[in-house]
Amino acid sequence: MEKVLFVTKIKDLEYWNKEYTRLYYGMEFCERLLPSKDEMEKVIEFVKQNNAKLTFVTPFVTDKGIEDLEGLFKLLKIKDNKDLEIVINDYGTLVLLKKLNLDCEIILGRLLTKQKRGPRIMNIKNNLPKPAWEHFRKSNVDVPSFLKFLEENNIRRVELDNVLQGIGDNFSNLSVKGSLYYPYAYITVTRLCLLNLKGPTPKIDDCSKDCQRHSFLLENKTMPVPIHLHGNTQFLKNEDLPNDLEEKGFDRIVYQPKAPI
Amino acid sequence: MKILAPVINHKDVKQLVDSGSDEFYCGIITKKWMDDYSHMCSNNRLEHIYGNLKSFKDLKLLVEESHSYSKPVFLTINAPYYTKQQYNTLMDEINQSINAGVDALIINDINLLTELKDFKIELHLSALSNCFNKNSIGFFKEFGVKRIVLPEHLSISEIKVLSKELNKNNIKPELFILKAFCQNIDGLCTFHHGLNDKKNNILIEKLKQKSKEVLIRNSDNLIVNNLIKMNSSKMSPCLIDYKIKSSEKENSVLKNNIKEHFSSKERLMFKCAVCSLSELKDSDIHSVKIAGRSESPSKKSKDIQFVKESINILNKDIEKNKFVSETKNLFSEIYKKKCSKFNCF
Repeated sequence: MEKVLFVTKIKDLEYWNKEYTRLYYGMEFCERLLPSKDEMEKVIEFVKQNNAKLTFVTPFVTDKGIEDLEGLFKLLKIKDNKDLEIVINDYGTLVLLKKLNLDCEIILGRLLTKQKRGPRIMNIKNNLPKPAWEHFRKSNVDVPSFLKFLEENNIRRVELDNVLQGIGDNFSNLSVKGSLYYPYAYITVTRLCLLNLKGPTPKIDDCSKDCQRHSFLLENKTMPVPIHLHGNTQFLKNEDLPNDLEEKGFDRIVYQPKAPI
Repeated sequence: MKILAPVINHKDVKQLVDSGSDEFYCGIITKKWMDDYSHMCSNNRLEHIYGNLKSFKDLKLLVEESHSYSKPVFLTINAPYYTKQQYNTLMDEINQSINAGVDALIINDINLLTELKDFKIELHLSALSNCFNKNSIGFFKEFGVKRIVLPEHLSISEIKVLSKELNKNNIKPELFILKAFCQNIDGLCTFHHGLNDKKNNILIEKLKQKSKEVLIRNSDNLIVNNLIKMNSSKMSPCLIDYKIKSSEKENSVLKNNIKEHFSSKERLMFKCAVCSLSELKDSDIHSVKIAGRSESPSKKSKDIQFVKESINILNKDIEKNKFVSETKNLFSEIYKKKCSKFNCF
């Protein structure tokens, strides 16, 4: 099982150690938090110095985000990273990557690989019909038309979250490989950021980046686990890894020492 | 600019047409689907039984009635995703819907778009597909979609750009104009919206008393429907009165803002973007969509009437401030209350 480290900030590179072979770096949830070119160069240098491989993680994006990503992809192209991977979380990014013809493996991120992650499903697990429970433990990955779509787009890896209801997916006989993100599973995300509340309703415009300084735990007796509110995203934390991951064909664990905001 | 309105009963069609609806959309959860998957695992985004039709017979009646007024009916098949085990039932139900005469399918799942690419039925891309940029328009065009419902979390300037691009590609742009509150991006939200906690939810408690099987599977009776309606405001995981703890440095302003946001009753108000229409007048928006399949026919009628009369005011070519002022008056007149800043989205 390959273990990789996922960080979103340069200062969190301190979590790197020899256990890891690959560094995931980037942002899935907010295009405003994409790295600058300087930061990207530092990470490229760090990866080279540590004889590691780089996976650049990208968010869902507006046209502004596409523009920013184009600059970063061009930088990666110039720097000639071997074994470069790009995680996409927006199909617009897939179109951009094809246009730029960047030499990389494209990975389908966890915003595009669908799972239900709400913790409250655990409250009714014994009350659901069996096929419904099985549905909630699985993603859409093994649907033949989806596998065909992935193949046509040269996507050979998909990313899943370590959800509370367990993982029903089995990649053993599939044409794609599976990664599992751990311990933070994202639940929901917004562009109306709750850390940017300045009036009765949150706004999309302007941002003070308070998410980089503050985070919150949301607790309620109806939620089986606390919700971790980091910026525009809500996560759950599940530190229990399934013990049959390798049997199910997962070959990579993506460790997040902090919630990736 | 057309008005796309929700409908769940053929008997409501005339009233909604008279109010000004140009097109209808609906969803269906059949008994078979309920037995296997329950409403929690709905085949469309609405994870409640009461806002959905229950049989293809009902759907056919609805389509026939709408067509008698020359109004098309679109069916939502826009669950976040479908697993392999669901596909046989799903495709069978899609075929039955097409046979019932629906005019288009509103689709989100990328697999389903692939499956339906060669079907002789018009495909609309659901807002859940998160078409946030021009590149994505090009991507989804390849699946043959004729209309794209833009996600709600876009600024006016972003909508203008995307609408222009859609029209350039001969895809009709559609926007939500009235909707229930949603803080999060619908297409990226993975919370379950179908019920509240079993320990604290009257619905679940009553259901448990009634049957060991738990009537989640059988919730189409009147008592259960009423219970669900009573608790609908508590169903949403976005409206929980959380205890908020700072994980790191305490920031009381932020903490209070967040606390207030999650517990504020004002947030339960329905959301309205009608005032924004004046800024989008020249953006060739094809249709505006009204959410609220679960609402009563009279509420649906009011919503349609409000949007219809607002569009009529817009077409008078008046300046923005005057339009906003007139629509606010219209709001008060139709809903018998003043519009609030909390209503805006």
